[in-house]
Amino acid sequence: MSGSYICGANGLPSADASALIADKGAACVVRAALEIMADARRLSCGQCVFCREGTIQLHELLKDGTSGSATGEDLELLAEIAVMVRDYSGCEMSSKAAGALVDLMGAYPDEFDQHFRRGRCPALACPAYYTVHVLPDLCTGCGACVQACPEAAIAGGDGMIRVIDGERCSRCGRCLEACDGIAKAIVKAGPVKPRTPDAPIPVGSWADDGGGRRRRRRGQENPEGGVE
Amino acid sequence: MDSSVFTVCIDGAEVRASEGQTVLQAAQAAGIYIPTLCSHPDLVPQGGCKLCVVEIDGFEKPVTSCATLAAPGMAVRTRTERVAKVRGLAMELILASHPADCTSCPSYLHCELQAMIQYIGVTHSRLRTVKKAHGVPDPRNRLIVRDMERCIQCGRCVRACRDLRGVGALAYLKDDDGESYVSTVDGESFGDAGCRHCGACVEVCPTGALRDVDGLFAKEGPRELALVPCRNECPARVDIPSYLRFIAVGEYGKAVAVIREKAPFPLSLGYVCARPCESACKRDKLNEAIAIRALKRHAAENGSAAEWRSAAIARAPATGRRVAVVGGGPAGLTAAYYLARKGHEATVFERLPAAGGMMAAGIPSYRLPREALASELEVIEAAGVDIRLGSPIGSAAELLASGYDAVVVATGAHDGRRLPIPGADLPGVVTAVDFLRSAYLDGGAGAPARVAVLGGGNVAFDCARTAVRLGASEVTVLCLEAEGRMLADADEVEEGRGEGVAIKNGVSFVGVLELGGKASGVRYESIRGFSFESGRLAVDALPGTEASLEADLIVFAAGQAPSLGPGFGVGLSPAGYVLADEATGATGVRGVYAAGDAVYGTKSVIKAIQSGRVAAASADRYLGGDGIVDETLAVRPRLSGRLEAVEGFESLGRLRPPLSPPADRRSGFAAVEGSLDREAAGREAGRCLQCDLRASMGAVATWSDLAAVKSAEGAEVAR
Ligand code: SF4
Ligand code: SF4
Ligand code: SF4
Ligand code: SF4
Ligand code: SF4
Repeated sequence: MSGSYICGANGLPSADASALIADKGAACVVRAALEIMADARRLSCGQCVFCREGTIQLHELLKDGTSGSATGEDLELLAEIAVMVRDYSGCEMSSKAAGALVDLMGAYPDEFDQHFRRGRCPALACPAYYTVHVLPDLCTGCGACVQACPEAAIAGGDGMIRVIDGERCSRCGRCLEACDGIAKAIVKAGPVKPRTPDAPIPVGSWADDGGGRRRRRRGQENPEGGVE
Repeated sequence: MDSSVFTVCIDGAEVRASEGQTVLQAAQAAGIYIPTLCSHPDLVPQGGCKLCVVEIDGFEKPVTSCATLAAPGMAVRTRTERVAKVRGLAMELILASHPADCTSCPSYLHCELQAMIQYIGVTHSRLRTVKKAHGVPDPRNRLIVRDMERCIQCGRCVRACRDLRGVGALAYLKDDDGESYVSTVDGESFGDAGCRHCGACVEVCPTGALRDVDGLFAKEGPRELALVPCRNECPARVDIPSYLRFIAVGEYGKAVAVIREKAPFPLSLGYVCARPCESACKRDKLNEAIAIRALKRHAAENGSAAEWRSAAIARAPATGRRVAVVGGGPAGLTAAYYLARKGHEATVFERLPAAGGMMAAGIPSYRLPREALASELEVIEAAGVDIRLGSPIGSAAELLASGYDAVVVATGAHDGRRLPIPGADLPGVVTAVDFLRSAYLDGGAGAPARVAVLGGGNVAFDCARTAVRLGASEVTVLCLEAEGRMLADADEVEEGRGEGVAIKNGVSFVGVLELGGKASGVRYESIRGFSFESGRLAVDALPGTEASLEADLIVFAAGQAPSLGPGFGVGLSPAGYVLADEATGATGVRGVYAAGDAVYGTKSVIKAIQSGRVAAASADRYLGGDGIVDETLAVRPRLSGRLEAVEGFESLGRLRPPLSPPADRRSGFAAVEGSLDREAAGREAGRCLQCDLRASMGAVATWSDLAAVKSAEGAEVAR
């Protein structure tokens, strides 16, 4: 006899959490949760507070957790709200979506912890948590990446090893795609960064002398993020 | 015991519930407070705010009590840790997207949400602040302010409009980003959405998101009354929306019965009521007020007396008590009418040769045909009132001494005031009271060619327009007030002008001119402004602007006062008004009551009627009666409250009764204003917003007024 919630009629979130839990492969589960919640938020009919406001909060928390602006407390809040939305929302749509989040958090607690507490995305799927680099020993100097970059973030002319300006780069990934069929010289990096020249140098002139721009710090010898 | 009634246990207390009742309703009926923001006594539950969750034995987790039916033997706990947790988070979620600045909100301190925040005891702190973009209040909405930033999407307004009114002007919508919000369908103005302006949505809104525009309703007095502004403003509190509904369906006799519940002069009022109701009408703020007076007249002219007559002249068994009413105007006649109905022997002593007071001797017949008045006097006499004309009374004591058990003094204010200027007493200078009385009662002579009326109120125009009809060729109204600020109704000024009355605004009077021992005109000067300082007029004259207007007759329409002397035997104010208690009409003298203009000065017929009712009730109580003069003469149909959407309802304009052309008006005393025809009357009555529907809606019990003690304990647990 309660009101006629129409979220169900709006559809269900598209992402399939149970498949992810069975085999997540290289996927980032936090991003998957983010997408589920973005859908749920959009699908909510707005009549019930846990569905309407709950999915907004979960979505906002996941946005922060995947963009480097979350805290450890936010992770606890995420868990608390997810359970409540699952149990008390008035409709199948949001209770399924929140249930998927609860399940993902249960199956991959470490991934959530990495995102929220350590600012890392092990799958290198969250742009806030990786940088993009041209590996100097693989770059052929073709310039395809320069063409592809919408931010003009890549320096270097013909025959030069290209260098990406981390400040300008928006992590859109176009250069990765451009280089993928040529030299596979462009990579994403988590906390451990590959060594690259500070400025473009002629192809073939790169010698890894152990000096230069070393970003590696002590205690990070075993990078979970690694280099792709 | 009735099988549909059973007991449930709520918080350890055995509580009676009946089949079909929800757990929430059963708890509320037992005075047990359960918080809720989306449920409302008049609305189907939505179960969306989740504040009403309770634990019920046998249920695995807390459930919403608004959407769970009570069942025999149920064990309910309203204040547990789990319940507090759900309520707490629900409240936090609601607040996360609600502005935090309560003090700047017009609903501050009158807001259910704000009270709930205190009850649940949560703050805005933990969650992400969500800013929803819902636009600014739409200036096209003249009655309802929609401040959607403060909307908590409880859906009460949506359900009220859809389920109670059948209008469906409000709905849950989605913006381009998929964010839900509540608004008029398609974001239209209320008017374009087919809104009937019943106010139900505003009434149920628990926040400041839907509000009445400022100044729509009176702030003082009981709320059920204030919500129906026409009725609230009517001195006699005539049930206007009820009779308009009767008129809308052509039940004119029943409409008259409704009016007669409060006033025995429906037809006369249909002609001359000062219609304070129309000035207050809620529809006036939307576009134009309902033509209440014209509708009243239409009903009174066309209604069958069979609907009310026998009830309206029915009398209680004779009490053997005798009441004398001094003065046969609306106040005195009304008092006598009710006293007669109460079983007393009521006699009206009227000094003039006709009954009706100013309705007979002052109000022009082109505004109130005397046959209309006569038809109502007939009913009053049929109810047993003995009206004695040409019977002046010297004192109240003389009546008490001659065997009357009580006296009502309703002698009116028939002493016209003369301005304190040189020449005011010359022949050819008369007061408005005398001028009108000679015209309408004494079968008066004609008027001279040139008439000057000094004064700017309705009475001044009565004199001027009467003079025109009596054959005067040059009629001028002179007054202190500037154009557009005159005390007379705009209609009077307009119609008077149409009949050829000249108006001279912004002048003060220097003196009456004399020629051969007779008044020959008036001398005046222009003024910048004027004020009344401790009752005395102070004018700011413009030097060198003195001028004269020649006239054969000068009429002073500068107010009137009662004419009772100290010899009458009741207390009088320095200005000559009878001292009487406003709420009871009691004078200082035992058994003597007072009503009408004699008490408070010239006001209106409807105020006089109400004053007469009050005096009658008091006198009846004095004579051993119950003092109840209210009665039901028409049974109201049960209202479904459904209005349905009507396209263009908001912009429906006022339908005006026809006015006879100025040429016809000048030459005779026939009624100036015509009557609405049947079709127009139905349409005009159908424009009414039916403000009383809102007044009859259920109220939400808040934690502070429902079982205060229990809810205080509840707050502790909830925290
Ligand atoms: S990731 Fe995008 S912005 Fe960054 S360097 Fe590559 S193409 Fe340019
Ligand atoms: S709607 Fe109520 S709770 Fe919201 S700001 Fe206004 S007073 Fe405060
Ligand atoms: S019809 Fe009544 S309930 Fe519906 S929007 Fe208009 S005022 Fe509100
Ligand atoms: S406008 Fe008021 S009644 Fe309507 S959903 Fe919003 S808060 Fe509830
Ligand atoms: S709209 Fe109707 S009920 Fe409301 S104030 Fe006007 S006449 Fe009265």
